Amino acid sequence: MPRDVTLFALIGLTALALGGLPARAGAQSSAIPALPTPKFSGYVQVRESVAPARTAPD
Amino acid sequence: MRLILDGALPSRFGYRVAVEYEVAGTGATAATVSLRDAFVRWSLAPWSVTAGQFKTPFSREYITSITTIETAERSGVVNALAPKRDIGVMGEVARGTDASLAVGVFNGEGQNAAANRDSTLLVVSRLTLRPISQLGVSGDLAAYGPDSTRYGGELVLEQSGLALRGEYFEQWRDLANQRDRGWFGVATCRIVPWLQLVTKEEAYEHPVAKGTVTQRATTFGANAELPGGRVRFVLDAIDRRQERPPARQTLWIAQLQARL
Repeated sequence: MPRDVTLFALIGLTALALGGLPARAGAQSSAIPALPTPKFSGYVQVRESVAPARTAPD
Repeated sequence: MRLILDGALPSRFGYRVAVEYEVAGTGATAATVSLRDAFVRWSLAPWSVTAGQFKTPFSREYITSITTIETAERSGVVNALAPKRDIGVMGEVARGTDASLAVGVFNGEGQNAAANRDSTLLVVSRLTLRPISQLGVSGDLAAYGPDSTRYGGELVLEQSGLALRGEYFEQWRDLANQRDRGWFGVATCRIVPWLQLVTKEEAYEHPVAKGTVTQRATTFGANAELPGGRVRFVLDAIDRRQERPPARQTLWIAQLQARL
């Protein structure tokens, strides 16, 4: 039996998140509500490293 | 450069997507763009469930953003032994800031690998306790089939701008009958609100064909934050030593981080 459960769970949770739980069986679908504005963030990183040649220990 | 988009969805759901653009300084390799985080999270305090690709809950130094940890690089033992980003499902429960427990089941194939090729699951868990505000204790456990069990612990002491933090990890491989282990300890002192001095000692011991290699490193550094708290300059001097074959290297790292 395939044990790739995580992909299955991801699809299920995503479907619930986007569609929401139905109020009752047979209920008519309503218009999709507008989503809150996403928050944008992140960072920029610049690195410079200097490493002299490896040497044998003293 | 990392760009992150997160927000709320209906029915107590939220989401986060993080993409990284990375350029190697040598110019010999092409720049890469890779997906880091892509998950949805359902939360109903004190519970939450996360599904998708995200950091496995193992080691504070690994799950803490590189923009927040005290040194420019993570410790050698964390880079070597901590499970990294993976695709899976994780449940969490927290009691304020006093205690939290996270247990996750992952494919164990690493980031951006959608299929579970060996049909073996990686189980990762982390328990954090903070009995008083100055003291934190954590335990980590990761099991990947019968061949790899990783465990570790963490101790944090904080008081008045001074902090001591240490983690210890081991990995046991049943089939190879091998044990990797290592630790690190870091001490920080905030001299003034914008300047922090750091020193770190670390060791990582792992078996090779003939015997065991032990790598040690000592770091001295300073972190300066510019007004506004969005720009940080990190300067580290790292002395790395290795036994068998013997080698020693001093590395200087200067790093500038700007949070968007």
